Amino acid sequence: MKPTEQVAGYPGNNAVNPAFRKTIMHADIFDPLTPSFRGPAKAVIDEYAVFNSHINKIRAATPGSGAYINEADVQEPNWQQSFFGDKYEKLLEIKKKTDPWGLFWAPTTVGSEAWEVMTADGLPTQNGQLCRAKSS
Amino acid sequence: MTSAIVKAYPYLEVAESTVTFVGGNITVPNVVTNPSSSALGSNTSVPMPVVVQDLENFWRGVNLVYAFGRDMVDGGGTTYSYVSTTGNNTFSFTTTLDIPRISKPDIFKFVQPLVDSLNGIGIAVNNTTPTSSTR
Repeated sequence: MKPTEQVAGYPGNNAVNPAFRKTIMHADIFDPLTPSFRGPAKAVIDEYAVFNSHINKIRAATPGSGAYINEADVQEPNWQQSFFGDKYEKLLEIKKKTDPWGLFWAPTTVGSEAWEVMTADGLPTQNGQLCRAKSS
Repeated sequence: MTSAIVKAYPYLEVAESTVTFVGGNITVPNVVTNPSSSALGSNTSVPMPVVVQDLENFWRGVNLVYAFGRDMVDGGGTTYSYVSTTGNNTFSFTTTLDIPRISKPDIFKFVQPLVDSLNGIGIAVNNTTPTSSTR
C-alpha cells in the first residue's frame, strides 16, 4: 500500500497517522493461542507476553513508524507516537480546548492519560471503574 | 458504525492475481483460501497448493513476495497477504495482488517476474489466471 498525500489529496490536512504517508507495508500479527478472557487471567497474561515478544521484533525493525489504532494492541507502548505520530501535540490542544472536563474518554485516545480503567483481574478489558491514573 | 464514506469515486476496475504455497512437512495439503479475495466475491481457494518442504525456502519465498510488494505499490497496486500456522510446524502463505485500471493480460505480465523468482528457488507456483472486479 502507498497512501501518500498526493494520492489522498483531499482533504489534505488531517490527523491520519503520518506513518501511513511513508509506508509501503502494514503488518499485523494475530495469536490464535490467546486463552479466553473469561478464563484465568494469568493464562492470558502469560500468552500475551509470548505474543508481545514477537511483535516487539517488528517494532524494533520499524523505529519511528506507527500502528493503526483501530486494530492495534490496547497496550501498545508509547501509543501517542505509535497511533498519532507528530500530530499528537496539535490533537491534544484541540482536545483540551473542546473537552476541558475530560468528559469523553477511551483508552489510548488523545488526552486519555489522566484516567485509566481499574479491572479486578488486571486484564486490559474495560470491565472496571474509571479512575484517575497514578501520576508517574 | 466503524467507518463512513466521505467521498465516493467513479467505478474503478481492479485486476487481481494470487500467489499461494504451503510450507513444511506436509503430506496432504489443505485448501488455502485468501480471506480478502473471498470477501470481495472472488473464488480463489487453492485445493492443492504447492508444497515447499524446506521451511528455510518457504520463508525465502515469503520474503520474495514481500519484496515484490515494492514493485506492486510503485505500480499503483496493493497486496494483501496472509501467513498462517497450520500446526506441527507447517505454514500456509497466500496473497492477492491487485492493480486498478489494468487489464487481466497486463497484470499477468506484471506478476510474471515474481512467479519466475519463486520458480527460481524451487517454489513451482504457476502464474494464476487473473480475475477482475465486477460491478
